[in-house]
Amino acid sequence: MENKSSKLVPALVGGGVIGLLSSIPIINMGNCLCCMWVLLGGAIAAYMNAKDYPPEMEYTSGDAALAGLLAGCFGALFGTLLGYFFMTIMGTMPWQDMMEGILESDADIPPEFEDMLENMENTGQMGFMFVFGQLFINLIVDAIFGTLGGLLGKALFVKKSKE
Amino acid sequence: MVRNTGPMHRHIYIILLAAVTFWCLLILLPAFSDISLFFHHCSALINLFFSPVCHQQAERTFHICNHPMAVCARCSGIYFGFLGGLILYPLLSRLFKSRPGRWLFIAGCIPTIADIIWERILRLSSSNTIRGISGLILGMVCGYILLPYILEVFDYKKQ
Repeated sequence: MENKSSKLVPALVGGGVIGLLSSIPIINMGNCLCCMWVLLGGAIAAYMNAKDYPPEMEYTSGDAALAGLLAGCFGALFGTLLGYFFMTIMGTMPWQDMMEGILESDADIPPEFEDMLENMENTGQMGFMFVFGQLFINLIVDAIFGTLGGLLGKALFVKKSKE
Repeated sequence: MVRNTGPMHRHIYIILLAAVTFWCLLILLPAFSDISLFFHHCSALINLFFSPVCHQQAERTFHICNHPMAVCARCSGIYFGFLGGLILYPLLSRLFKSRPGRWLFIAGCIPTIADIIWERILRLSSSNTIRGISGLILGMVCGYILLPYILEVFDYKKQ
């Protein structure tokens, strides 16, 4: 009977590392090097998961990839929420700059779309849309890089089993 | 094609190669935003997609036809290097029998870390070419190290 350890705790810890490091201003610049913090979070999740494994069982690449993937998904969620929290504290509203850029650009924007954007900003929906869009992009990116981080963690830190 | 692998692994290898090539083509696409309005809108979306991954500063990015690529020179180097590592793995794995490990990774990191220290700590000037080449080495090493592990994920007999 299989007795694989749960991936939830390592994934939550890895996700927490991703979320925290990806949202703290200045430190989050580390992600500019190919999502360094996401790779690190995935690697931490895989390492922790491998440590919990019973010695008689082999820790496979599939396990490492899954731990990294889950850490990436949690990291995207935590990172987006914490990022929004830090934006609120610092009073930065990036969606306002984005909307001004769209409205002031030379692009041929239909007047209905322009009205819709202004209406969304007035009712406060723009911030929600921005956070939701960011969460969507973060989920894709963090899932990919978290999985790679998990595999990298296995390659670098997990001892190979005796065959 | 890939050492110690069956037809299943060959298919995975080809799919992976296609996916990474597609990713690299996405990076190049904003450079061709002048071709049509469709390309222009696609480029804006691609730049938005890559914004969490890279700072996208124009002066640190390679330009093609006066248009910046979607990610900076270092990131471009890493991604294209990763593709190179995947392509080279079948050839290099015949020369080196043991599976690459942490020492190769550390060696691959050295040029990028040295470049960052050179630029950020010593405050000496670097160039996009140096950033790109150091990233290329790191990406190549990562691709070479990770490929056997990625293929192993799809090795159902071992799960």
